[in-house]
Amino acid sequence: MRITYFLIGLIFVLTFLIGFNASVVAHEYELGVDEDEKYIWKCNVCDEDKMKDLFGSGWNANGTGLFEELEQNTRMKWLIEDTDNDIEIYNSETLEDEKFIQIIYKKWIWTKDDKWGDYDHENEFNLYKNPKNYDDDYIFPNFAPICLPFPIDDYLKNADLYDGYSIDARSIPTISCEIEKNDMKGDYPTEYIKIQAVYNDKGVLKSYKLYINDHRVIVDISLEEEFLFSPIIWMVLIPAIFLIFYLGLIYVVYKKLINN
Amino acid sequence: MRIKDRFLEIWAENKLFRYAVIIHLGYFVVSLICVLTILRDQNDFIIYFNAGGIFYNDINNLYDQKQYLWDYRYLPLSAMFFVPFYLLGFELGFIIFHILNLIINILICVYLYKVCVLVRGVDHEQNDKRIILYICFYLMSVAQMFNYLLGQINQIITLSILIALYMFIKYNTLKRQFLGGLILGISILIKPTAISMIPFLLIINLDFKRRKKLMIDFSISILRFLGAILPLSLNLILFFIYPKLWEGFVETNFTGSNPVTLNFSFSITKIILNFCYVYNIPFNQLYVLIAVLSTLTVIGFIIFIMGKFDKQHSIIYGLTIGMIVLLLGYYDSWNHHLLSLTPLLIIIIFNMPRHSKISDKIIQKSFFFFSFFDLAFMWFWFLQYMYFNFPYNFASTIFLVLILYGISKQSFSHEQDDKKYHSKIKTIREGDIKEQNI
Repeated sequence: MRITYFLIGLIFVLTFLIGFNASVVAHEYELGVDEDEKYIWKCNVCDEDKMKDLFGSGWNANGTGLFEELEQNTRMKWLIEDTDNDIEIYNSETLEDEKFIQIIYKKWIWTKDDKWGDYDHENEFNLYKNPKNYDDDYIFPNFAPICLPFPIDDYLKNADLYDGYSIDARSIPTISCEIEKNDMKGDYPTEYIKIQAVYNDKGVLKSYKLYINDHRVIVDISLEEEFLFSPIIWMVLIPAIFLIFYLGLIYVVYKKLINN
Repeated sequence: MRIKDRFLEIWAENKLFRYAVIIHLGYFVVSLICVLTILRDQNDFIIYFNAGGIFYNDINNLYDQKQYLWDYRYLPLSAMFFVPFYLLGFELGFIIFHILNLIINILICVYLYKVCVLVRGVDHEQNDKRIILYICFYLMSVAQMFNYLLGQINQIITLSILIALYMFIKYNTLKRQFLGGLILGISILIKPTAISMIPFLLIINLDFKRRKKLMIDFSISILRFLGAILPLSLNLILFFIYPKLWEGFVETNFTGSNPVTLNFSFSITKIILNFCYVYNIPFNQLYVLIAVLSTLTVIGFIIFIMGKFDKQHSIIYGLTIGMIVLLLGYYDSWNHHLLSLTPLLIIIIFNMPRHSKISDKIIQKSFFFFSFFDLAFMWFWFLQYMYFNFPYNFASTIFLVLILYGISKQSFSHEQDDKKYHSKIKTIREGDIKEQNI
């Protein structure tokens, strides 16, 4: 008898849940970044000659976004001035007002100086509010945007991106883009390239790697965390500490917790 | 009717069983509510649901990953299984699918019980309290909640493995051996988790020390093998008719970008790839996959062939080794995949001698780790990757390697154990006879 009541109750709950979900609303895409936040990226690897081979001599000219004046061992800074998740801007291509997600930021171009000094530009960074508005087979400038709205996977999957794009936000939001030789304007790139861009929990570019065949790195850019240690310590000591800590934790689980 | 009576009997007398059932039902209800509300757009069932729809409407685009939130990776015919759920609509489809998973979990418990009773060593307790205890742990396993929350299909694979195992062990007829292979093949058709079990279906043994002779039971081996391959081969027809499917399948599973993205997979292949990613070491993902998988398969096969397993029960160890090879070798091995391994560990616990050190120190501990602690390491991975960029989740890797080591140690020291084991059995039997005489 109790089981009968339980089943009847369950049917009620399920019916309620179906009704509750009958109208699922479309996603509102929103930025994860906020005003006054600053982001610093570091270029760990940049094979300038190879980049010139791949994309021509203008690969790091003015207006090339992430690549503008890119060199190995330099840093770039963004200071977010303002954000807007729903702004109408006149689009000169479609000749219509269209909705965008916008970031206004101050930018310090890639530099080897430790002191930042005055900013170089104040720029706008715009993404379509509706990802379906991107052109067919769209390739992002620099192949991956510096910032993306949430939910990242849904936003990107709704854009009609170039065939080589592959989105995986299952554990960490990641954009991979494989571009075959001569598949872009001007018969670039001159050989196969692959880009892997990883985003952090605010939707900001955390790691950017540009590879050629067999994952040989040509460009490696990473978001700089506010480190207390030198990069060598970061690359060697921290993994070692984590390795020991991890093994210790496994040992404790194995010896103490499971035994009890 | 007998199962129902037995259930009520255990319910009445076993407190832990009551807790396990209630906790499991808790997992079921909470996950149902979560998937239909907050996780409505972030679950695996939605991928299956879409795959069912694409299979039904436009099969050529089955591997067009733009159609999915996360990649659809399974064999093309597997999508056919999801068509009925697609036709029911997402909400009703998921509820039916979820209830089906619950029923399958009940059947898993039944078959797990049956196989444990079948293979249980003579020195184990002859009542079923300990088997029920382990089934309770299986039901309460945290991975069950994760599996339900994702709307995954691991239970179908687990049940198929258990039914196949039951047939292989219980019946010696060729028909049943073929049927067992066929059931395993169907499970691979739905999700290829058990694919690396196929080589271990052979009944093969190399007695290297004594006779240096390779013994193989051809008829049973071939029938099991054919049974497993037959459903898989049906995919070839689809690949032949729609060549685009083959390209998509290979790219999604082996050569594309998604298999190399950073994640918390605990496979050796993924750990190597993550290491190469962090330190900018050039790599070819396919070569790494082939190298790791073939090394593990060779090691596993050597253990399987040369180990002195009991002929009737060697299949248990073979299937377990096969599963471990896949979990350690393929790019993505997630926590919920372990739900297909833990029942095999329970069976091994009951098949090994009751006080075997290997069972105590390795198999049982691994079982508890996979059931209750593994998921914590996944969350830990997320937490520390966010702040410290340390992208390796190797806790489960250690336990999987330990199990492989434990099985090999057990199989190679079997001769020694055999003497002790048989003398122990003799003593127990003599005790029983004395008791009967009294």
